[in-house]
Amino acid sequence: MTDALPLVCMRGVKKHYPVGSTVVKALDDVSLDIRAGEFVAIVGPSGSGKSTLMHLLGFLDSPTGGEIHFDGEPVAQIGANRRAMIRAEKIGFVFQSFNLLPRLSVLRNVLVPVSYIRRRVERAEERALAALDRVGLRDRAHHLPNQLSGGQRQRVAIARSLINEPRLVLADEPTGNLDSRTAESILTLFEELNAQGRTIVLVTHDPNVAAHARRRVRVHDGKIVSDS
Amino acid sequence: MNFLSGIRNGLQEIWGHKLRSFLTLFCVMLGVASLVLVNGFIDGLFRGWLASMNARGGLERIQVLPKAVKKELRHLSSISSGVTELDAERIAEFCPEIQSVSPEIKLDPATLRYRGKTERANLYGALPEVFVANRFDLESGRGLADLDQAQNAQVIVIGEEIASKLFDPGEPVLGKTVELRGVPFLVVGVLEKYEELIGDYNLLGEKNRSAFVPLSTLQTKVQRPPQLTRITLRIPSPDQLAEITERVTNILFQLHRGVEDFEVRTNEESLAAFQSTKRGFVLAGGAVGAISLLVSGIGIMNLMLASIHERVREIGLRKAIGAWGRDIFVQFLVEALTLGLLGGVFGVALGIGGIELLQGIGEFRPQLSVSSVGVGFAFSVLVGLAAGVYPAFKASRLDPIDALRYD
Repeated sequence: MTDALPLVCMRGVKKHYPVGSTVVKALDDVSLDIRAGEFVAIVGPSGSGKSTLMHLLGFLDSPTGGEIHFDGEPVAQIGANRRAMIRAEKIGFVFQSFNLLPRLSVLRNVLVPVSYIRRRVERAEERALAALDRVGLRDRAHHLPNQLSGGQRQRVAIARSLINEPRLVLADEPTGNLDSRTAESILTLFEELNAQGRTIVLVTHDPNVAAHARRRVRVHDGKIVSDS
Repeated sequence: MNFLSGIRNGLQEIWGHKLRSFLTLFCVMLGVASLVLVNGFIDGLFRGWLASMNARGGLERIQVLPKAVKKELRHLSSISSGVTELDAERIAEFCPEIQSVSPEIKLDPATLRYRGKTERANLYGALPEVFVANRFDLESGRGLADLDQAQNAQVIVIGEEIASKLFDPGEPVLGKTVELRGVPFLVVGVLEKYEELIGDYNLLGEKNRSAFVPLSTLQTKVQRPPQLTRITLRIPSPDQLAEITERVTNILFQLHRGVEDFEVRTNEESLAAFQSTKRGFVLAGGAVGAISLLVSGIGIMNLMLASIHERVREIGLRKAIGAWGRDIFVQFLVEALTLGLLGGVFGVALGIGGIELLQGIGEFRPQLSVSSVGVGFAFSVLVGLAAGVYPAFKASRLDPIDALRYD
């Protein structure tokens, strides 16, 4: 590892929600570094705070306290539109339920994130085809999502997450809706992408899924309890 | 996302829910079509009125007509001789600024006969001024002359339709003799053809069925009515209408010894009557339009809310991958606009079809105009935007975290 700044650097990050007269501490005093090129699994049972941590890592939410630096910039206190821009340009999302748009072809699904890049994008279609090629579905570019199997749909979603060349790919239970053999092939795809230099954060409750990552961060009751 | 891909996206959503979209589009379509139709009726009314107003001489024309005396004054009516040529002479004498004073007698019924063919005409006995006063122009030949009056000449000037019905095409008309109640008349002039079509109905058709003979000839050789049918006055400008009307009324009261057996009628009254009719129509049309607007708007808003409810995950995904609230707002607003526009296209087409259909039947013909099509389109855009704002705003405010968790 170089001594360059980590891609993500969290220090004393808190996420507290007021619920009635009490305060729920979804995350409490979390510090975490993720370096470029890592493959990290965030593990924990539901309600542990791992989803909240993922929302912060994916700029879907802002912390109520603490410092976060992303790509060298302080980002703990930025507004919703700035967060949206960072999500569009630097984060690739993969969800448990794929979230493909049913009326768009595979190719146009992959192209959706391009429309939210607020500058001119060159050769978008060419890049979308390359991303589909990367997940092995170039020949399905003009199919509709409902003509594909679950594993293929998740591959399309992965291609979509790669289209804007993100600094970080964030996968939330990406194999939760897949049978174990298909799940295995999706996880292998993540391993390959990581081997090519992609930084990947995988959020899961399943130790077998987490085993594919090179580093496991365990969250419990809003705190990181182990990091290996 | 640009506007065109927004429209495309909207069309895909509409296509994706055919029945639901069809029902909504149907509402918008009927709303727009009713608006186009009502507007067409108002236009038709206005244009028809304008044409008939011009045909009747416009605001520069004043008519003096005989009128029944009020019952309680009837015992006095014998001291007045009614509307006569003397009235016309006095009006011309005391109001020299009046361009033409045309005393006229209508002969009714009047049938012209030529070689076994007969044709009914609006036949008037008149002075040469009749053509100026009533806005007639000659197509060929000459009008009536002072000499015709002096000699009780048996000459006639006929309208275009009379000429074409009595005579064969290409047949020379001037110099032929037609018969009126057994009296021969020499055709000396043919009037221009007047046409103001609404559908295939000619608003000015009556003008083409006119025929004129010298007043003196009518009185001496055909029948001898004591009174004129009317006196038509033509004034130089509508500005003098009120003043001249008053003076003419005074002259007539004098001549008729105070007996009100005449009426001085101007087109101003018909203008006022028309304007109030038009106002009524515009109000009724506006009410129809407002209700249509409301119904279509409710339809579109309902559809958009249902669509957003179904697509919470899509909104969540779009926001997660970087869409701003504004992008979502525009996306759904454009979808609502697409619905409105599509309904507008069908509605305008239906409205045009309705107008075309109604032009073939009925007395009251709607008129297809650019303004009614424009109003229809403007309406559909407006209703799409108005009905889309709230659902689009609602969609744009969704939190991506909640939206993605939504099942």
